[in-house]
Amino acid sequence: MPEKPGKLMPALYGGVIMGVISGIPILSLVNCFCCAGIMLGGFMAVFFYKKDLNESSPPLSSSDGLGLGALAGVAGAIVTVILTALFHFVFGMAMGGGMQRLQDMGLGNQIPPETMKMIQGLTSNRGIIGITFVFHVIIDPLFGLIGGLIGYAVFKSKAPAFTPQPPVLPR
Amino acid sequence: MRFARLTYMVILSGASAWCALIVLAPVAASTPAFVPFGAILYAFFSPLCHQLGARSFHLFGWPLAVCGRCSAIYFGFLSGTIAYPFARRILRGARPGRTFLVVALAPMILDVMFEAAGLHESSNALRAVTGAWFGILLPFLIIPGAVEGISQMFTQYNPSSIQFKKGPIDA
Repeated sequence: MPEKPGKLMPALYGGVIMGVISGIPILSLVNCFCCAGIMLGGFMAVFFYKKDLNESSPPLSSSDGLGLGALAGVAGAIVTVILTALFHFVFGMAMGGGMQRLQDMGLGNQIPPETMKMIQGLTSNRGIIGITFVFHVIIDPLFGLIGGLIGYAVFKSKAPAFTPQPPVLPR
Repeated sequence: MRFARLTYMVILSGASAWCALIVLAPVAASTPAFVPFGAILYAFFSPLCHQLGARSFHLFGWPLAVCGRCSAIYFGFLSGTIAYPFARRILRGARPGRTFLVVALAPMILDVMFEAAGLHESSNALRAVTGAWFGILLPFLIIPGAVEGISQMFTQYNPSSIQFKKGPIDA
């Protein structure tokens, strides 16, 4: 029986796309469009996997889409954290945009100073790496999975991929 | 069938919780005792959306945690997920694909492109309508794949739970 191609490399490619979009400061604005960059990573993982399938391979299935999207999300979270750390420590680019927005909204004046200090500490110093990791470890597999499912819907073959065979009756 | 219901309920619960958090941010910000919680919610959603006040819907004088277009996508997704079991009967087993995705995305993409090109000035209402259109249609693209994929995953690892049915498994 022909085997399916490996999922690791397509998921890694998708994860790199996801991580580059999320981890580079200007490019990360794409995620302001409902995590479009993260979903694109999951979608692209399915695209690369579909390219690896040949005529003798079993067709693309929805579980492939789910698995590839989630795997790409995990890879994307790791790449994002590495790139965020790189830009934060090497180039000194702070990712504390959320803090500025709180000030712009006028919430900064109403938050107790100790809470403000805690939020500032989390978003402006080394804590940003931990926060980025926790955030992306939750969000990336979730939205990557949605991207993978969109990829499956777009790239699936016309014939149903999952048709269980009828049981063989005992003679 | 068991996995189909479970998968659907997980998606519905996740979408409900996500939308609740979006609404909870301004509610908390307008309640003096919960201002820090509101600030944390705004900070959580800040990597996902630009959160510009002029492009957001307001509740109790505070913007929702994400902009008007994003809010419309998420609430549209929740509405589409709620409507899915009823509308599925109308679809009669049709599986949306790439044409469906293009139809879902086109109004929003055109709105963004025309606005970026300076051909027209979008309004919050138009952003919400085009976003909601995409959000409502998205569950019809991903729920069948999610249900089928989860069923495949569990039957793959637990052969005794395979149910022999005619045609593909659906919700």
